[in-house]
Amino acid sequence: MKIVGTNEKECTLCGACETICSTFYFKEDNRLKSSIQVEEVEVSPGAAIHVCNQCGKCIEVCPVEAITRTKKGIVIINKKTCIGCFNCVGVCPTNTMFWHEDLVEPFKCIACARCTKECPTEAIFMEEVS
Amino acid sequence: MATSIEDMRKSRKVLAGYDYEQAGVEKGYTGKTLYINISDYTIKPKDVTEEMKDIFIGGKGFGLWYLWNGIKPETKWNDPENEIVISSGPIGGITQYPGSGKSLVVTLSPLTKSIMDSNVGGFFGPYLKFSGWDALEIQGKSEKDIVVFIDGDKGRVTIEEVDIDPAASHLVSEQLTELLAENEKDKKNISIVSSGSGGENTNIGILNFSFYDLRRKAARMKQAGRGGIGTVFRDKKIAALAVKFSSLSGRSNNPADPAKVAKTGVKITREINKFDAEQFRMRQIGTANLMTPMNDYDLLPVHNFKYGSHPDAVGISSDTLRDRFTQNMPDGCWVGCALSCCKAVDNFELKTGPYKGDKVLVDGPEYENAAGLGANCGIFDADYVIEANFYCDTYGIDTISTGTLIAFAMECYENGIIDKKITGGLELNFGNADAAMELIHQMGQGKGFGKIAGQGVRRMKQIFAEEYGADPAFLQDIGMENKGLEYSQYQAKESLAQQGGYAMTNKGPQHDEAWLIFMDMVNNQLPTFEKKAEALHYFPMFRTWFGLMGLCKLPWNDIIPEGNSQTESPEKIPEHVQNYIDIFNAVTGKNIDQDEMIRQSERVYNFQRIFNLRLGFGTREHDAAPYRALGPVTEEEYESRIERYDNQLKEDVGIDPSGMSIAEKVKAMRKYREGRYETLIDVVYDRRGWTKNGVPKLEKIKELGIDFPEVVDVVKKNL
Amino acid sequence: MIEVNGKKVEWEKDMTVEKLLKKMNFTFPKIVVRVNGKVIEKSDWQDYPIPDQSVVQAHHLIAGG
Repeated sequence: MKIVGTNEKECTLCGACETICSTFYFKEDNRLKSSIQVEEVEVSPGAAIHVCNQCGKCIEVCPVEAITRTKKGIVIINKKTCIGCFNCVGVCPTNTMFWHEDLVEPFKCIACARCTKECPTEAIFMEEVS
Repeated sequence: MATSIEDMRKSRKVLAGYDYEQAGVEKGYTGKTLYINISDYTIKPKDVTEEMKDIFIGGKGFGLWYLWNGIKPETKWNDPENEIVISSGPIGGITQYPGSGKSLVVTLSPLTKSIMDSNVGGFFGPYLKFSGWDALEIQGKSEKDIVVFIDGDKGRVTIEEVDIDPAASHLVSEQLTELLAENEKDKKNISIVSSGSGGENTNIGILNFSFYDLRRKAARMKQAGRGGIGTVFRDKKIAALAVKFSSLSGRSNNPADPAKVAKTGVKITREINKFDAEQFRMRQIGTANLMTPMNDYDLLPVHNFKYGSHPDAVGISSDTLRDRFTQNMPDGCWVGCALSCCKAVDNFELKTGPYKGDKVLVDGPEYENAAGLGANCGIFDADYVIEANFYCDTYGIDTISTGTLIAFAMECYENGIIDKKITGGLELNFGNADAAMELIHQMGQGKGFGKIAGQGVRRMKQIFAEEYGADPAFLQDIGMENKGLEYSQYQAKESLAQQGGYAMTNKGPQHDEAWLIFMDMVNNQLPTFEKKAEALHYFPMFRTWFGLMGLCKLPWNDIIPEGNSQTESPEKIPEHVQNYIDIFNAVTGKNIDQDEMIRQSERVYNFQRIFNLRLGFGTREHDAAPYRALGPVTEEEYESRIERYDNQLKEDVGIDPSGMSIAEKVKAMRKYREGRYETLIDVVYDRRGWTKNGVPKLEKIKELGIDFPEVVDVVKKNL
Repeated sequence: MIEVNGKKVEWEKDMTVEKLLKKMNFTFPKIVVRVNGKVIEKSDWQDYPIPDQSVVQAHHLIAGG
């Protein structure tokens, strides 16, 4: 499957990925509503990129089976079914199942690749993994 | 009986119907409750007043208030006026915080003849609220079996005749779920309340509340277990209650501040993910995690509470039971609960009874079931515990009372008080799993000795004394009941505070008011009477609060946040108490603090005490404990822990035990322990603002604002 | 002699937190141990010495079913 790969050394924390993601999916430029979030950290290389690796741990804990894996391997949330319990947020090993206080349901990267096209330094890119 | 769901559907005959406009939920309340009289088929809404919300809050508080108004002081449990009230509470039904889907049930009990309340999981309470009703109040008595349907999608309530056999609760839940669901996916929108043939044949009937497990594709059940509520249900000839609500969302409860609810929920959900595996393993083992520590600390009831441990306990230890569970995350009794303590044994092949050979799904076993049905009866066999658990649930009888009353019957049998002639051939020795299983079938089916045993320990004591010439004093000592309710499964002999936590309760000896054994006995944090009394004030009040809100107690202290040990009162889990205050305020838009939280409970707690008084109970004599709960009744018990008891005589009592006979030691120990229990009652009553006879003082009820004329009347009559 | 949860307990040579808990049969998984007021982390129990005359608290964090 194709997921968003990261190379944190190249990240300049410009935030272009966050802007395109939140603008496309939530119609506002708000990094806290982006399914990819970059963060300045003290340890080398200075940037951390948080984006889902499609591991699927969240699928197991969803009480209403709102989270499934597509044929292409991507983990998606059915917002109609989701009852906003955030069990998936709690269990996510990479802290990339995001939530925002304005929203009833959590949200996550569905590997649409829009952010990778915006990244000026190839710090993020589409990557084939098994 | 109908042989297919299609036949069942065709058999539906509407006796009465009521269409309603769904009141939306606003800050945790719909503002409406549903009254149904099954004698004359009245179905009508009632308004929830601001005063009700302020004083009684919801859940158990609403149940008590409606029951108070619905019955007279002389009403008996099986009179038509008796009610069954089911209500969740303002927080009930939120999906973000674990343990927020509880229903509280209130009725007049056939066991205690007084007020009973029970806190139960399953989807019914939340779906009832989201269907438009803060509470369901059922009064009257039907002539034939009926089912009450509440369709929250269409806004319609019906009382119907349906061709369904109410004998086996697991089948009633499954069949009615099937009947109401349009397709497989729809099943999660349905919850059924039912009892079983045990509800007809015993005084310890339970209500099973269903919740649909999407992954197992099964309607599972949680139990409102204590005090015979299922007996009232079947006496009214209710076969089942059913609710359907199809549009559950994270905002169904419409909180004032959803962001705050979400934030608090995410915080504890992350905490559970991080710490549960190294702390109490609620997700892996559930409450059965307590089996091993209870045995290790001599607290697991063995042989009718004579002892606190047994070398064979490994047969039903935490890990033995864990290996029997079929892990299936998430296993919550309400949608979204991250603590997920429900457990199940899948495909369990029954060896006995009417469903012998069937492969069934068994909920649990929980700690209480393994401890009561197993250890307390001297049966250390996991297969037995699972089978007994299944049949108790499906017959609709309380596992806790069942464990304690079989253990009592066994001790009577071993003492020659009852014999094979009386038991109809059952050899009720401790450890005889076959005889115990047969007795459960007899209770469930209303046969043989089961007809006597199923009436509970208090009634058995009376029958054994009056009809079989047993010594009533000895029966009083070993019969583990108080107020008519059987004790739940903890050995409290070495914790004076817990002795009070059991016997000074409103409904009877259930540990939901206080569980102080470790704080008191092991940690020695309550060395004085005053400290014990403070704990017996704070914890029962704090824990009452869960029942006003629609909450479960477990996420309070079965997960411990980081840094808790550095706080001033680690045993209160201050961070979680604050979470609850935050959630209450965020849901209701009110602004309470910790003091007001305790006052909310105190109002309802004292009201319940006064309700007991109104029915002729609730005074000091009803807080007496059987001596088995306080200390060693027999020489055999004394000798089993002779070093401990001799030491206590020397150091605590100030008597030199050398040269005393065991009988003399038992007597001296008894005098000491009974004296201390009486002192404890004095100090606790004083702390609670009650007279020496256990009656709330007038100034206390004024201070709490529950001084309604009819309440004051009852108190005055008892002063 | 030391004091454990307010009760006198015989002191033993080379006593550590771990040895004391074993002696007391304190097997519960969630215990907060303080030796003379200081919280001792679980990872240090094996080596942390308990001198004679110590005041020890071993608070079991459990509030039951």
